[in-house]
Amino acid sequence: MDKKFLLSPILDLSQSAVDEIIKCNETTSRYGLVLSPHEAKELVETRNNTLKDHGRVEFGGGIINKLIEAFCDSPYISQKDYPSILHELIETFYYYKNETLDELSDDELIDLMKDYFNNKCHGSIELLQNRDLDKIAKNIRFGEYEYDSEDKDDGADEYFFGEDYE
Amino acid sequence: MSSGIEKYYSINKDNLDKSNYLQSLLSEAVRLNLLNAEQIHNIRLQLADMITTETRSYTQGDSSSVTVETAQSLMMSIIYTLDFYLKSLPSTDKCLDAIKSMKLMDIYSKGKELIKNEIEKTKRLLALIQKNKISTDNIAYNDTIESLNEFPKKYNPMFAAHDSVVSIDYPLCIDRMDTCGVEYISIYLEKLYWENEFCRKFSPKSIAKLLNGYSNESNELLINIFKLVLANSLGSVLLKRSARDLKIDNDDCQSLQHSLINMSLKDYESEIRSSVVKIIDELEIESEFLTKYIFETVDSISERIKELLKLNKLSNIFIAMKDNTDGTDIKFEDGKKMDDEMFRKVTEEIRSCRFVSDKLKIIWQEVHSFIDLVDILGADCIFENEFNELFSSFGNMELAMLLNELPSNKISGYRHLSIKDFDLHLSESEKEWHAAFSAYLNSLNSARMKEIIEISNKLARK
Repeated sequence: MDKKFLLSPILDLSQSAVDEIIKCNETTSRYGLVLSPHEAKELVETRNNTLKDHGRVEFGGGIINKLIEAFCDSPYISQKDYPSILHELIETFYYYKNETLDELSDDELIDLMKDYFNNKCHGSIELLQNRDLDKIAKNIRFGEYEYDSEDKDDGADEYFFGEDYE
Repeated sequence: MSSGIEKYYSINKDNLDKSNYLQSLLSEAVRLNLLNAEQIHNIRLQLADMITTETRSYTQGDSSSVTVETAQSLMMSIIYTLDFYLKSLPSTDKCLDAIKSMKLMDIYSKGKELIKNEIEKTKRLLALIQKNKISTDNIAYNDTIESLNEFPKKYNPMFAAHDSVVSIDYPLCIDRMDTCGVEYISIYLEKLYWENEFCRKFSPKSIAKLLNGYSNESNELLINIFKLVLANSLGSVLLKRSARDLKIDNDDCQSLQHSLINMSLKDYESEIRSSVVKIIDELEIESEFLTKYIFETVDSISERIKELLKLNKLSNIFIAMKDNTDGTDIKFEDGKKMDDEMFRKVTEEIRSCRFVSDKLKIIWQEVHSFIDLVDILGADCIFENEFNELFSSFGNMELAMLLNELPSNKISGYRHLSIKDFDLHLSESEKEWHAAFSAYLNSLNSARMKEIIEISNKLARK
């Protein structure tokens, strides 16, 4: 036995995570959204890779379930793009955990993501990432007290949608 | 009565790494087949549970993930706490029993309890050090004590028990640095306390003089005061004087050189040993810890003395005390420098003089600044033998100041490096006066030369 790894804790939670995701189908099937075991496994793999890429460690888990539960009633998600959106949401979540310097709790970040995705971003992951969450991350890094305050003059909406998009 | 028979333990404590106790204990246990793969697997599972619990507690349940750095720090803190309890057990067998019979979480709780007690101990030691710290201008010493006072406030036994948090610059005489966190701080404080206790047997004034003798910049150096004091006290006892007397001069070093170099190794060692006993008796040192500490320190001092005896350089360890007020610095305030126009006029006038006496008259009358004098020496207006006449009209102070302007290699026995040593752009006329001046100095008798060098050393250097 390699003595170097004697004290590395065993953290292989993949199978239980897949089982938990499959369990979520009971709730999401009401909205016509279902994941196969294979897709669930892929989501867990995405989570593991994203954690590694962003230098994070997760204990316990449950983020995928939380994302599924938060986003399953979104009018912008259909069965066809359900797994791919979940992959992107997982990556976005961990990326912005780092970018917001861990100042936001898991629930706060998921709530913000859901709110922006369903309202301001009209289901666009790109807008969610590059505009709204980015602005929040910047606000937090610059020590803004109200990090999710609207900046009326920044013209970001016009930039993305043109002047009369509403 | 000691029978000379020691109890046999399955794991030798000496084989274990103090800074990574649990890890090395498990490695040894696996190597010696005292723990099987299943037991190790079980320990790793328990560790996984503990890190999960601690992370939850760290994030207060707000976040299920943390950065790798945070996780590593939490893990180190857990292992440090486990180590803290295991190291407190009397033998490695007891450690193994604890690992086999107790849950890691219970060991962890016991470790936390011990750390709490240790923090209290550091607080008590800090209060004692506040009272017995020595009065010195050494910056590292004072800053370190100030920083240590912050330790109880800054230390985080919950999530960063392994982190010593405060900055420690002052070097202890014996500091192994194989521990960290509160354990290190506690050991550091204890040693510092006893070093202070020893130094307090001597007057702050004599310690200040000793440090000053060590270096003019001793305040800024990372030196251990206790060791310097102990070395001189030892020297004093070797000279059959009082252990409280720190005064040792060059003649004393020479007499020690004569007496020690002729001793056999056995005699030398017993002489050192009996001197240490005399120090301990005379200074009325009763603490077992301090006695042991002194003996251990003297071991290293004794080795150094042996080396220095071969080189006839005992003055490197038995430091000659130097009074701070005996003129380390002569402050020189320069007169008004003349403007360029005036300077040109004066140099032309000097150049046009036929006799040296006239040149000297002008210099003494017109030049009121040392910078001007140096410029005139290098301004092609004084030649060959005239230099000698000019230099002989100067007193020791002027000559000492000019000496500071000279590259150091020009004068034997003059050791100070000068910025001029690195100046590769000296003009011919500058080289000329340098050569003339060094020739003049070398022609002086050695007593006067010594005097000039002494003044030059005392002059505050630019």
